[in-house]
Amino acid sequence: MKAALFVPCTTGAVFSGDADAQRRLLALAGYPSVATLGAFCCGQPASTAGDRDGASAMGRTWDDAARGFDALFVASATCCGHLRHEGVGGDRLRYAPDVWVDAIRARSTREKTPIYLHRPCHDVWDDARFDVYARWVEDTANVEIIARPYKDPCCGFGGVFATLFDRTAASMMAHRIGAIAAAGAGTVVSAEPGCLSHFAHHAGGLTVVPLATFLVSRGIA
Amino acid sequence: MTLIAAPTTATRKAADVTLGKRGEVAATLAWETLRDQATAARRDTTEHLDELVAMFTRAAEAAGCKVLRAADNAAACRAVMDELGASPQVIIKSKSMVTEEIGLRHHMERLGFTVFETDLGEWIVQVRGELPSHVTAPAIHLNAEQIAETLSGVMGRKLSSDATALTEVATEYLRQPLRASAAGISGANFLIAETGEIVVIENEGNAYFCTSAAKHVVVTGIDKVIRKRSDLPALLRVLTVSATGQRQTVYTHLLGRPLPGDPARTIVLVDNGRTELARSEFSDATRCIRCGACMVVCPVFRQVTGHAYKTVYPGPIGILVAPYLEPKATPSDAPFFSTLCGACSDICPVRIPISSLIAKRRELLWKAGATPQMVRTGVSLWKLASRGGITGFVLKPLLTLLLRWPKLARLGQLTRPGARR
Repeated sequence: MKAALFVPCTTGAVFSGDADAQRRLLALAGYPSVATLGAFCCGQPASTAGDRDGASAMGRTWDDAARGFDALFVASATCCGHLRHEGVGGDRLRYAPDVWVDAIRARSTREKTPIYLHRPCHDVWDDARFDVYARWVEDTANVEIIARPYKDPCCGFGGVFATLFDRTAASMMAHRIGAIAAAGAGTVVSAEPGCLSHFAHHAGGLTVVPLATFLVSRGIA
Repeated sequence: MTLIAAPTTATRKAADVTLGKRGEVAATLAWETLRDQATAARRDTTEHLDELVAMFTRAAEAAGCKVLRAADNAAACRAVMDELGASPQVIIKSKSMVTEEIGLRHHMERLGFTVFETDLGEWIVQVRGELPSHVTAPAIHLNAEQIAETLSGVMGRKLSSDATALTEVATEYLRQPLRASAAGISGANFLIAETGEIVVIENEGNAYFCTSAAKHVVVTGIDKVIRKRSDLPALLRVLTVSATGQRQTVYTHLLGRPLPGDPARTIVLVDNGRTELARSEFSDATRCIRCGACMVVCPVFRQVTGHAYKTVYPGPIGILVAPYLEPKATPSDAPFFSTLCGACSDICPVRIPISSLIAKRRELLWKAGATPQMVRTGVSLWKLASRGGITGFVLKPLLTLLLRWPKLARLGQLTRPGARR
């Protein structure tokens, strides 16, 4: 099987080590040889900016890069959701954490620690599946996941929103960071690079880690 | 246009209370069925707006009401003033977003009328010279200390910030104009086409005084019309639960044929862009019942509160209706006052796909070349980088820098006159 991993633009730029961690987890899940897909961006920035034609063109470019692969892994829920919405990748497209949850049964022996597991508002999962995923992260990484300590449905990133209204987005994030710290978590973990980059830019004293990197750091792969 | 960044603790705190109560009450009801029923009733309104307005007009006139149709703000204000007469008088008002939309109170005050907003929250923002910051909770942006300071100025003495004490002071003060008023102005939550009845819901009892003053003028949008009385239970239920987390409001008024001795009633039906909205690709927004749930759940609204939107109708639904109802006030980049998280669509009791429609408004901006330049430039760079080749090879390191240090994106803005920040 020819498999490829799509490394979203944000992952490549802000969390460059995470692609290797994702690949290690995929190997543990039964995909030992995964190429890096030669695509820079899924097209989501164009879509959220209102450039429908641009988003479609970027989707076609992505599709061209994906030609010849039997499996396409994407670790970003929003990129994966966008590609599905655009009809790109078809059945070959897999949300990487979906694969990890189903296949990886390793357990961390590290000391238990509280974390905040951020769920993106544009999740590809329903609540039930996210719960399965959260329990899996708890068991696999030996962590205690604190409940979302604020009622806001979004971290304040929103792609172009945080670009245009950076101070507002920063103050939204300051509220979330304060609430998470007050709830006792010192680490924010997420599989969503967009949200996570927003957390990272305003982290204060919190540690912000992509999911794959975090799992590897807990000795999983 | 800049969204203010100041944290609005009061808004978030009040929003959390409302969302909590809403969730608890909705869980005790057949909520999704009620939403389906309410959505169907409002879809009927959207698809048959002209027919239902004509039906309501006939029924209301048959019930002894005078019905006037106003095409725009100016016509609506004129119609109200024609009913009230030229001599300045004391007028009491209950809360109405349509009167805010048409600027009625300011218009009347310019003509020498004394207008009392009798809804507590609306009165507070009247005293402060502000717009309501939310469609059902006009003073949601204020905490008790700020309200005490505002009312202390009115009373000429220092008031404590105790909510009960403040309410008592306000109630006593607002009782005076209730007795002395020449006429009352109210809005309407719904207009029933088959019976000509006007539906007004409230919690404070002030709307009762406004609707039973010597003369009663209803000022409302044509989009408040619904076909039949049997549509009402589901609509009222989803409205009150969504707006305040109540199973029902304290008072529900169904105003039909005036009885002997009742005040004369005039109904001013305001169009002001509603017909255009109902016929547009954003027609789903006509279903809105002004509950404000999309506002209290919106992460942006919760942070910046309603005034940041610069329009009478703020928040996610405001982004959709304001271009039609308040085109001059609507900021050109309003569709970007959203993270597109989708919470507004999820919570809307009449299933308006708000988030998708906001995305569609962004598409209109893009096609018109009116998208903020920073966004256009960014997307153009991303598209070029995605194509690969030598251009992509050169651009990717630059975009990597932008993603690592997003503030770099602002460098190009700093030297431009009128830069965003």
